Amino acid sequence: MPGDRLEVSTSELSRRLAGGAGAPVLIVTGTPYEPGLDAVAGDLLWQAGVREVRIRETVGADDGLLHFLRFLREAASHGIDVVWESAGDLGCDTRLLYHLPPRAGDPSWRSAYRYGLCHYRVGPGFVTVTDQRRGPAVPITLRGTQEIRLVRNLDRPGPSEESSAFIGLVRSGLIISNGRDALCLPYRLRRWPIPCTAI
Amino acid sequence: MRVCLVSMPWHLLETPCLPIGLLRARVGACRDPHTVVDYYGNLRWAEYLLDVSGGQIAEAEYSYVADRGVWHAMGEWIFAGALYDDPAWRVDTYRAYLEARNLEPGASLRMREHAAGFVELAAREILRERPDLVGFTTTFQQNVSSLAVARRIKQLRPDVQVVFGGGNCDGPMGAALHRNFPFVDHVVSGEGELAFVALLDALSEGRAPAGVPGVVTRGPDGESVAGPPAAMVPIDMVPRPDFTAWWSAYGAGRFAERLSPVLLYEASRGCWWGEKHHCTFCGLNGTTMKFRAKPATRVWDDITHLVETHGVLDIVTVDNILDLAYLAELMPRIRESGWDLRVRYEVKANLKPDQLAVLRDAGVTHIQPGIESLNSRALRLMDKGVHGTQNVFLLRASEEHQLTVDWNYLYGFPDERAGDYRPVIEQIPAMVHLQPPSGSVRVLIERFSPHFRSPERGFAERRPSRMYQHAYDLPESELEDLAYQFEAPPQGIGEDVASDLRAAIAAWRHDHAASTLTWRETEDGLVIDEGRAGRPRCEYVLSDPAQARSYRLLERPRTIAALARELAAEGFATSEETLRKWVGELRGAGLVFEDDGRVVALATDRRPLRVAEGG
Repeated sequence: MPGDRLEVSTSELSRRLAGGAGAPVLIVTGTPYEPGLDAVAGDLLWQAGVREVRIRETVGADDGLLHFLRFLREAASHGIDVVWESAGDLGCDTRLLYHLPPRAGDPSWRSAYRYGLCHYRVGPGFVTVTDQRRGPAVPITLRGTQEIRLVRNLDRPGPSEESSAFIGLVRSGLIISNGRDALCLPYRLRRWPIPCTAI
Repeated sequence: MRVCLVSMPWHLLETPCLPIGLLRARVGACRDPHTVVDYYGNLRWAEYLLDVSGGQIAEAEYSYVADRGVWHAMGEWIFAGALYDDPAWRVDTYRAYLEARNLEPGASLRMREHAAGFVELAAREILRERPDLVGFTTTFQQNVSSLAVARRIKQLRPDVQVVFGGGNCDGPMGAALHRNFPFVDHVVSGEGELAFVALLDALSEGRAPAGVPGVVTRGPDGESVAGPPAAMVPIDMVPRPDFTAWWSAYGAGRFAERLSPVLLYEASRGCWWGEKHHCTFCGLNGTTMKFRAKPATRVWDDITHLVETHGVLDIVTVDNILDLAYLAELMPRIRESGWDLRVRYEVKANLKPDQLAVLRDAGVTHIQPGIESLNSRALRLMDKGVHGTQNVFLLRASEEHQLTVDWNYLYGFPDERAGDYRPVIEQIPAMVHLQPPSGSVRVLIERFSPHFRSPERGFAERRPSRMYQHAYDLPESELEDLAYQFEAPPQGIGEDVASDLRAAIAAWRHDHAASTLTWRETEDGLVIDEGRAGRPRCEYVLSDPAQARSYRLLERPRTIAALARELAAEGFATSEETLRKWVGELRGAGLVFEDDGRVVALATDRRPLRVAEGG
């Protein structure tokens, strides 16, 4: 049904959604590495009624990959499906991405993926991170101001650091870095699934 | 005095002990200062089992006994051998009980082998704290482990005062505990905030506590002497719980790396619905039904303090029912905090969608609405104050608002008929996209419930539940006072109907995760997408504007006559007869649920986000 789908280029996406455009299925054309795609937060997608996004162009190792990953993460935080393909290696350990909508043709990723696999929740003066990408694990609580600052600031791709907090979060797989820029990988949980006790 | 407060198995491992948290905070109200130490025997027992079993008996095995075993006194039996100094005590009785009910013992048989060793360890660890008084809090399956340790403490240190309190000591149960176990010096019966303070005052001032309201104590010859009933505790005297000692014990123990802790909180006591209409099966409020709720500002302050102090965002409230004033006075404040809470609350089933949205936005993601049945006549027999379609409406609205619902299907009420169940069983396959009950069980008779208090309601031949036979070496006349659960010859529907209901619910549980039924507005009319298990994928298109509007109006339960009036008011001239025929067709396709002359739509307005339990 035509009203169920909307095709928009990455450069136009943010403006179109903010302007009230929307459909259950969103088809995105144009480069998936563009900050214009990155800027589309999950809230905007959700409010526009988008429940599935299809990325036309294939994704590969690229300096702009973090922008695409941020888009995936934001969509995932609302439980929005993203259909996408990669052309070869992404240039990173994809097991770190198993909490994000899986790429087509990657059965390991697809079987590992589920909503809430790696997320964080905000409390007064602390953040709890639940990371079950490597199997069942209890949440950890971040109370350090440096760690909380990094989770907040690297909500979008930002410069890598040499601080011990940064290195610690990279080692624990909560931040991904390409050497120059970095991104916080867990998403903030925006919706509770049914049953809410499953995550 | 040095006071040691003790929580024994089978309190859950991931939650602090609320009674100890409350009493800790209340001891400050005593006339003399006292030093309070806590002993979490439940955590120590679980750690002990890990050690002695080489890790084979772990939290899952503990939880099985705590959660499943509570209905069968599994945990009580495990410690009964230690209480009666006989490891083989009533092993055969226990096995026969389980076999008759087709129940798995879990690790209970292996656990019993270790119970006596743990009782000795626990008694000595408690005495290492040099207490003058040891207070055991006991609810559900905490009696026998507490009694076993209390008995050993008195053997080792007869001068230590032993006090019991908690839900298991309410009313005649507390007096029976005191009467039958002479090593229990005092029992606090009923709410403890005032009585425990008065007891400590009497003991520290060297006075005999005879006559203290809410306290059963020993007379000169060791006989039980009961004080007058305690006054109901004003909610202002229920303090903010002090969980600091529990958090220290938990953090230092072995389960902090294995489990996620959950805060317990009590915002109110009693039940505002029960004050007007006591659900016939419910005994939860014991001797204090009167509803009392903390002001929203206090609840907010308490929650803020607990969440900030302990760094935990998961909260289970132990209230019997949500105070509706909190919807306007508390929930918006929680939402504005921006914290990502996950709160569980018991609510009444007649909440409206906007109220559900308020709860969800505040992080109340998990509700227990006391649905119990989907049939209006059965619900009237229970005095629930809702009808069947309202309950289905709540299930549908919860799915739309991403709220997790806990509920159970109860049967076995006097005067119920097969006709109260057959139409529901027939319609269950149409509801598989809504959240199923956790199961269906024949109703138990709980002390304090109308079923218990008024045998003329149909359970005249009641006796203490058979499970107490493998928990206590006591005559039935004493169990009459000690027990909380009772049984009687089955009432209501027969096993044939009950079996069909259980099978239908089992299928519902199986099919739920893979089922959806959603509607959407299109240029062609209202389209309902069929995605329920066991049915071919298709679209139902309601292209007639009157039909499409009717389906939307049936989002709320309505009679056909009311639906016709609403349609007429909107300018649709549709006769009741036409509507009745059309609703019959919708029911045939499983798109509406019908009960007691009311109809409610089943399709949801969106696909829910689901995750399978356990990944």
